[in-house]
Amino acid sequence: MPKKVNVICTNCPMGCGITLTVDEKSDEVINIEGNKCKQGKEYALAEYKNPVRVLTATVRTNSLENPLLPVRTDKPVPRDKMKEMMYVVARVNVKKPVQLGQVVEQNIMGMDVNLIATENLT
Amino acid sequence: MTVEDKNIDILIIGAGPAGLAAAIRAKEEGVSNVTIIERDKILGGLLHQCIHNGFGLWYFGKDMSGPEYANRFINMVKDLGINILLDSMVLNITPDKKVTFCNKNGVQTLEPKAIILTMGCRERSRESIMVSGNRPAGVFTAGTAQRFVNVEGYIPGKEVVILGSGDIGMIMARRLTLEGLDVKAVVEVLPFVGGLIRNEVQCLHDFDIDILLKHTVSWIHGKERVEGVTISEVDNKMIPIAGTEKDVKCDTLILSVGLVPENELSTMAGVKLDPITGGPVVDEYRMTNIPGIFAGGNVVQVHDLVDNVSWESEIAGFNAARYAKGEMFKEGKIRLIPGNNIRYVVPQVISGEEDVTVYMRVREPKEMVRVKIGDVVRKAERIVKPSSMLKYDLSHEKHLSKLTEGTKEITISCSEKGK
Ligand SMILES: Cc1cc2nc3c(=O)[nH]c(=O)nc-3n(C[C@H](O)[C@H](O)[C@H](O)COP(=O)(O)OP(=O)(O)OC[C@H]3O[C@@H](n4cnc5c(N)ncnc54)[C@H](O)[C@@H]3O)c2cc1C
Ligand code: SF4
Repeated sequence: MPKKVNVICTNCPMGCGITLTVDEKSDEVINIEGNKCKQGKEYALAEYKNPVRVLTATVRTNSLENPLLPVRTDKPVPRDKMKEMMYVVARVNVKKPVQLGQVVEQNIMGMDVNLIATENLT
Repeated sequence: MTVEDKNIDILIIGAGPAGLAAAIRAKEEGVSNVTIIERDKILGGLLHQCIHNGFGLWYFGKDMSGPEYANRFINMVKDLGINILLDSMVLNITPDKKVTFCNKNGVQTLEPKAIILTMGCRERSRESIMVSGNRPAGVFTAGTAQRFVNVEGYIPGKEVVILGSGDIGMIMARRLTLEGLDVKAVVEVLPFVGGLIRNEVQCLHDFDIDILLKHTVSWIHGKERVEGVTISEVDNKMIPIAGTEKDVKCDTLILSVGLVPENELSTMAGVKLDPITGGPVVDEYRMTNIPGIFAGGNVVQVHDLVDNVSWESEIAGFNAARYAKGEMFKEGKIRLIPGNNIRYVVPQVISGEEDVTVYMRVREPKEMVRVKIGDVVRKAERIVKPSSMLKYDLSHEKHLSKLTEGTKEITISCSEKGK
């Protein structure tokens, strides 16, 4: 039985609603429709197979003026793991000084993803 | 900077992305004293609290967070030897360009050769959209909530309703959800989402947050603290429909209902404002009606992409430098008039003798349209939306030289094809 999966392409303001037809047994994508250009096809495939996002958040610091330091993952992470990752982020504490780009937490949840500072903390 | 150091060529008011880009561009033109004055303790403006990514995709070809984008410019400002006055609030500007400001040394006045206005925007509040109900604690603008959560380290509440589907509201919906709050719904009075499609998908759909189009918050409940809101459907005139009310329990209401350019200083200086954009009327040099006063960024028009803020302000910086060096500009003889389905156009006036990039926004979303700039440009667009600014390059050689002698107005329109 083929199933239908809907995704919205975010590559341009058109925001095409794209429907993928997927074979439930083999998980093979049989058909993609609704995209108004080629880019949309690739996007829909990626969104179906492995939707990823960069996670941005803040971590605590020992600075009185700047109690928080903004951070992000150094590569996109699976969308469905973002909430779980926030529990790891919530436990990170950094001591000044921290340089923009510095790794503040390594290999989160063993996923080969690091958390990096996106601001200097002096 | 000391009080004696008053020989300023260009004074830039506000150190957000607009001010930083303008300062860098002006300094690169070889102007000796470029000074930025900022009321905050740090450079970067709004970007410090915009910790999410999505900045710089166009300007740097890289997906950056707000602080990362800001730091690129801050480093350049420092390397170039641009003067910086922090913790200093500008109080007044006169039409002859005397700028009064106040900081811990007291009130002082500067007399720069040129000024660039880059004060950014302010958020619309509960008062500006007149939400009915009680006046309990727990009603925040999205930017205030963003500052609490991202900079100061407080969460605004536990259960949240967001009114308005602008980008800031959607970004806060995701941010608060990730911080463990329960975002019950995003409520939008219009029949379409106000922000970018990317934010709708990545901030709302990703987290299964409901979006209620053609709905509004018609009452705020609670005495000391928000206890809930009433959400109603609205008719085509945006009036709540009786009988459609639904009560939703929440302790926080966040408003993301638009930004207004911050132009009190501009008005004091005699700068003419465009009633639609709320920003100064500018020409292709980003100069206002007051010679030597320029403007760029959100103070001119509410931008959705910081990349355009930087580009626009570079135009102001470049031309302020030319002005400070004594160059003369061509007269703005031609008005650009918003026509069918066009809400506004920036710049509002041009000389017709130089290349120019025009920015505009449509009133309503439409598919398969043709944008016409007078008779000189016709451009087919698959889709236009109020949330996405349109941008066209007009070249003097290819387009503007084709105008008939003595043209005083060019109307810009966006019509469905075949009509
Ligand atoms: C919440 C939010 C999310 C956004 N998300 C994105 C995004 O994902 N991607 C993207 O590309 N863009 C985004 N933007 C847009 C972008 O950040 C803004 O367009 C940009 O910050 C505007 O720059 P600006 O320099 O004009 O104004 P601002 O950054 O507001 O800077 C104005 C500066 O002027 C100073 N100032 C004002 N008045 C005075 C005075 N009297 N004296 C001294 N100083 C003064 C202020 O303190 C401030 O520092 C977002 C904007 C907001 C609000
Ligand atoms: S499929 Fe093509 S046209 Fe449609 S939203 Fe994606 S990029 Fe835009």
